[in-house]
Amino acid sequence: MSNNIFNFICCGSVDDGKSSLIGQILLNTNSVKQDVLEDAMSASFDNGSDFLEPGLLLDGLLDERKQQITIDIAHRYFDYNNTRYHIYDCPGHEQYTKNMAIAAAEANCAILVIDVLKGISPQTLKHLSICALFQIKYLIIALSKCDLTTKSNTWDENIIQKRKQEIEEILKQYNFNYSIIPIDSIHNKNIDKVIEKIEEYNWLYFESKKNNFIAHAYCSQFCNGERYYYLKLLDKKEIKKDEKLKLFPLDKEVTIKCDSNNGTIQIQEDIDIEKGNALANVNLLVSNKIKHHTYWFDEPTNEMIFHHGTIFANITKYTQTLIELDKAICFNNINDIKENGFGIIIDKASKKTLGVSVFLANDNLIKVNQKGKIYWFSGLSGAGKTTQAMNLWREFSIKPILLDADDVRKTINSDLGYTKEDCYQNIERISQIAQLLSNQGFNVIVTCISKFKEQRKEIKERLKPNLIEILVDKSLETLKKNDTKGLYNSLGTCNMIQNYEYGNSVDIILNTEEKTEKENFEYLIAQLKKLEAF
Amino acid sequence: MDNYLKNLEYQAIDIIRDTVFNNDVEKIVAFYSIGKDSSVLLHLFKKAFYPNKIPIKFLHIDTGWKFPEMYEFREKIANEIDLLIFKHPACLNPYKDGRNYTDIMKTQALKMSQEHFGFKIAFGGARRDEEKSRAKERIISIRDKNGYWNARKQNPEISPLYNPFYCNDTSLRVFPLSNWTELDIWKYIKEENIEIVPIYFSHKRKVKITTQNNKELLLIPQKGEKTEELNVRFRTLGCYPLTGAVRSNAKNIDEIIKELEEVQYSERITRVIDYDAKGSMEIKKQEGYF
Repeated sequence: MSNNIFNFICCGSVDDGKSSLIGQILLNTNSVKQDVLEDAMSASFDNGSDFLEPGLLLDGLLDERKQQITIDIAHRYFDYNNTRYHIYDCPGHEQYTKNMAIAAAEANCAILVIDVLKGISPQTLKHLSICALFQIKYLIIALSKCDLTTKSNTWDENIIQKRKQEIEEILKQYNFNYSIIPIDSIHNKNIDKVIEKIEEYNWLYFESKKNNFIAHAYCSQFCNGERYYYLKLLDKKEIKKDEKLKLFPLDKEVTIKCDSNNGTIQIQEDIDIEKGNALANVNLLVSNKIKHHTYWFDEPTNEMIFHHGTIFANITKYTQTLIELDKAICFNNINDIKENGFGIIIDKASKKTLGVSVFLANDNLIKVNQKGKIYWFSGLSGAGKTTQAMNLWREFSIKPILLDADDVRKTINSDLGYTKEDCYQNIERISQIAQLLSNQGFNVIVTCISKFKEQRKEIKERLKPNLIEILVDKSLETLKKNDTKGLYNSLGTCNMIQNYEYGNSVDIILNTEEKTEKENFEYLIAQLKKLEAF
Repeated sequence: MDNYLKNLEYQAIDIIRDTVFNNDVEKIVAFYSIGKDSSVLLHLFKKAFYPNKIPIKFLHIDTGWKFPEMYEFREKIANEIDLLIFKHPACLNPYKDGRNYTDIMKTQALKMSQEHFGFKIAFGGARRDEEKSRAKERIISIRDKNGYWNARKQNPEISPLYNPFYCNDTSLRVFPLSNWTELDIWKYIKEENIEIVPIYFSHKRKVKITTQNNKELLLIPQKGEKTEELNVRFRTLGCYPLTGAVRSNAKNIDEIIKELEEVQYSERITRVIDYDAKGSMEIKKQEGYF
């Protein structure tokens, strides 16, 4: 097995069939040992059922079996197609919502189970918002108990369709990558589809995961006159000799002295790394004032400790939006790097964990992010401008304003046609709007063919130094070959599009002909960082 | 090493460091049972503090009824680490004393030892895949002043931000191997070349063939009992009257891994003790067992 561990939670309202679904997933992936199965069988008979209740594979506490509810998270593991999956079976009862939140904080993906007959309940919505709070990107909605939609075990497509629409309506306010799958756990129908989806999301998750390295220092110790630093690594990997990392909050570069495979390092420079300092290959925020949203498991108390990385700090001031600490911490916004984007609150007297705080867009961040930059994507239609632009847009925690030429044409520029003058005018107006917004400090992303060389030059002159011109380049030949939109093979538009005038210097060129979307995007971010525009 | 195993290793090291670096080392102990999980735990401790020595003590709760091979192995380990040994003065007999035996020689002994040495934090090698109630337990698990576990009063826990603190009337049990499976343990033993008690490997042994819940159970015979000589190995090690062997020809770690990838039953079928009653592990745990 070579992959990482993929954590997913199974949540939803009480009795909607979470444990049954997980039980069935375990059975379908051959992850249940014979004696465990026999044990669950005998428990099913004890409950008066004449077939295996897959849910009983999960509920482990005597109380849970007796009451047939899940009180606390059950952790299960299974290996499937070279990946280790860690399932968190969450309780659905309202009084145990906190246990669901704990699991959500660690998860990469969520399965939200909704009983097809009951539909969305307040508890479903609560779970959905907790998933969103903890930045779970991938969501599978399992519409359970479809066998009960008719009396004959067949499925009533009308009911299922109606539920789907209701759910889609609600999901509009969130940013999940989701899919809705009707299932029947008892008769093992469509469970294979759920498993397929989990695999797909696992793949997408690791594909989009960036190569971040963040480590927090516990302490230093001497051994034979040499100084060793003990670290807590957020992304578990080996550290290689000569690797360069940035030390926070000092903002200095340090070089690793020897390979390390246990999170203990030596460095070449003569710099002290103190407890709570962080080493990273990405930028971290450093502050003792943190904008947050806290999910409380218990009532806040007068004296509380805040834990993040390797630091335990006293909370000196607490409001609903801001936490002040007696020490600075090195962190990220939860949108940027989830692993480094939250902390926990502990009661000083009882040592109980009271809450989990996610870090939200910080003042520092606004300064870093909103510079009034204009990211101008030019290039032929179909070359991949919008794809790259949207990828960039997603990277910002404070979202830039999008000006897409097609959208602008439908609204402000609806009076314009496709003559040369009109095309010129279209671009001119877009540049004016971008300038207006940029002057007020907003970041703007423009996607526009912008084929006229002279005009691009003029705009660049005018908006310098805020404008970054990014050419998304693909050859006309390839575009014609893969002409999905039918742009290049219809006579009306071909003349208009074909003559993109190359020639003047641009800041960044993304070659979408030869490089993949991911390669181009990584290149884009690297170049923007160089230009100090990201 | 496989990525996922590396992840489990680092997670365990984090848990060890979070607990040890933020508490008084005199208050911390790691239980050492001589079994394979304990061997892995010990290895992880070495790795967590390398190049320095492990700053805490290990403790073996002895019952006097372990396999001779285990005592031999313990001697060897005692040369490497700071190992304490504690035995309950009652000296009960598992053949005669039944359920009282585990309660007194293990559960009570464990609590007594903690009081005796003043430990507030105890590491253990338990894994969540071992048993259903374990699957519900936190990695850092709070026990009340009697050492009792209350499933409804667990501390919220969010990896990797562990809360390693206790207060006057609580103590902690810490399980860095929580997210490991039996197979992970073996793969790690292989990767890191960790030494284990030799009777984990196949050997010839005279055993008494019995059944438990319609499954074969190969026990160490008492005097005068009918035996058969078979190729067996042990999947778990504990007190020999309560530990069953399994038929096996697996002579090395690769063969054990291969055997486990195909095995039908979980390792707990080799323990006599788990079948007292349904959920017995949970009850034992509530009473303060590991």
